[in-house]
Amino acid sequence: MSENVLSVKDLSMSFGGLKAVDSLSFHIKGKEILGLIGPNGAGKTTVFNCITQFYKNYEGIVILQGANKDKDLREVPVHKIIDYGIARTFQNLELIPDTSVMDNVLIGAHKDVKSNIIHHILQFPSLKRNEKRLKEKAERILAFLGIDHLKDAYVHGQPYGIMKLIEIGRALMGDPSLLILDEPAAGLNEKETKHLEGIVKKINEEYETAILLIEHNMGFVMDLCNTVIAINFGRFLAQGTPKEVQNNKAVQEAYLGEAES
Amino acid sequence: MQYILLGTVMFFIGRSILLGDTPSNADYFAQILIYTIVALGLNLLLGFSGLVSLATAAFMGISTYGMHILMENYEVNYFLAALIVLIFAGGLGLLVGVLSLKMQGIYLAIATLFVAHVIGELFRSFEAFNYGESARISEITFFGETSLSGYAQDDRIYLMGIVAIGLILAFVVIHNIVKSPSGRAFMAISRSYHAALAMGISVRRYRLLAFMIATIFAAFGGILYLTYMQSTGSVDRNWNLELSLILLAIVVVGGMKSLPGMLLGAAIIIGIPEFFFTPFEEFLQGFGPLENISLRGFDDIFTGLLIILTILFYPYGAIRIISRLKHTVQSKFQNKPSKGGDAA
Repeated sequence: MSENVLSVKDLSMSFGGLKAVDSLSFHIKGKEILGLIGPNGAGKTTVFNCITQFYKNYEGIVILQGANKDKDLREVPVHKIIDYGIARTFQNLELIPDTSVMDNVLIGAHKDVKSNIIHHILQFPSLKRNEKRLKEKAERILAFLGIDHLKDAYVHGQPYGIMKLIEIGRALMGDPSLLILDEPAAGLNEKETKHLEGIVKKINEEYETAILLIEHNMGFVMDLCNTVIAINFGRFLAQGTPKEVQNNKAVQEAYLGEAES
Repeated sequence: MQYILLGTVMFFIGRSILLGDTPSNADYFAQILIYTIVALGLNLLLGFSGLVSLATAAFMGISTYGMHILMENYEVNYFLAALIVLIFAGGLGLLVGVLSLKMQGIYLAIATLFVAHVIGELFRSFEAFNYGESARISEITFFGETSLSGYAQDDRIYLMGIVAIGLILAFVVIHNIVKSPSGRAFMAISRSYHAALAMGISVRRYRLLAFMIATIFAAFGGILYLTYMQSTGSVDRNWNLELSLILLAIVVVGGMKSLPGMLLGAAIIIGIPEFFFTPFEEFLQGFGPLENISLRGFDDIFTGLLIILTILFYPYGAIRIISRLKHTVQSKFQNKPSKGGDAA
């Protein structure tokens, strides 16, 4: 596989006395789908929040491998992370309920809005051109996700599965080289999960995006991921192909064993 | 544009009131238009950006007194004075906006209340502000020729025209903001905070912008107030907490996120007490035992009730009543041919 996109080295993060993440290290390679699994409270979302710089006071280092040079993401403000090609979705949906699906997806292209509010007040012609371009792009993405018929509908009242797709669509608007999905299949029924599986695979292939995902649905993880990392209590347990991790003793004890009981 | 039509209609209503039997009612009508402008700015803050301010009336006061000082004491040209006041208001909005970076909701409301209180005390302490009492300006000179005194009826019609133009301008500016990427960003920072950050929207920048715009709109309303009334208004009677609350009520009752709703809200909150309570009061006083009745205090009860009823039954504001009516009428018209078809 191609070279690393992102490296996490000795990442630790504690809340009060509790170590949510404990010296965790891993890499994500280009065009790879990496699954992060672990029981509830294992610190998976905390890892995501450290990578995307919602938390800054972590120990260790998160490095983005660029074509020319590497970037320590700690130096990047949280709202500039997307400029470095990292887009994410949220475990608890973070959509604007009282506006259209289209507007929600367009939020994802905010970094490509080069005009400022003065241009908007005075309705510069370049604004219209730019908006048209972004809307066409959003339409392509919505069609890709199979929800283009809903573009003018309000987000409020849409089924949960659709909202999950809107979040992914919004993240895709930023042309990410790394897409971070926080429990994309949670709350979806079997049919929706299958549909989502296909979409994630297609994103990976067509957009050539590396994907890092947290998911509790093991079928989903096993079908999709090239590599799986299992953690528990913030500590590294195992890494390997889905099969290898599934057969790992420590993982079975911590995770699958618990799930069966 | 629909807003030019709206402004023109408002101008002619104002003009007909001025030419009618009770020209003094035109003052209230002008206030409705002016508060609509201020509410449009406040709506961007409250309805779109999810922030709150109780200092709106104080900012209007700053602008009327600022205009007065610049025009009377320093003999600055009207337009230049207005420009200075608007820029100053923008800076002030930026400063107050800093509060919103640290707190939200009720805490932000209390902090802005404190700001309003400090501004009020400043007015009461300095002679330049006439110790918070209202001060008149002699007249307004446009382009060195047209002088408007506010006493002559023709001049008042002219002034009403200026207020109407201001209204159109305010509607167009807010409309353009709300329909633009900035409008989306304002909604994102209030409704999906984390996603906004993850998508590259600086929450700090847009909160400050929202406060700046709301304050500039309040100042613009203040300038138009001074222009039409030719008086600064008084700190205790005009630019007080009550007005800030009334402006919030206009946004809530009119309909958060609705632009025409602001005009509707202002018409309901300001117009109904002024245009209907007074005649009703006179009507009641016509009966012997009710001779001394006064409905003065009922304005506030009315406003309070309206807010409660709106939040309970029309969380999207009174504008929703109109859009529903429109919807009903449209569906009626659409049904009719099909019914006819059935009969045939």
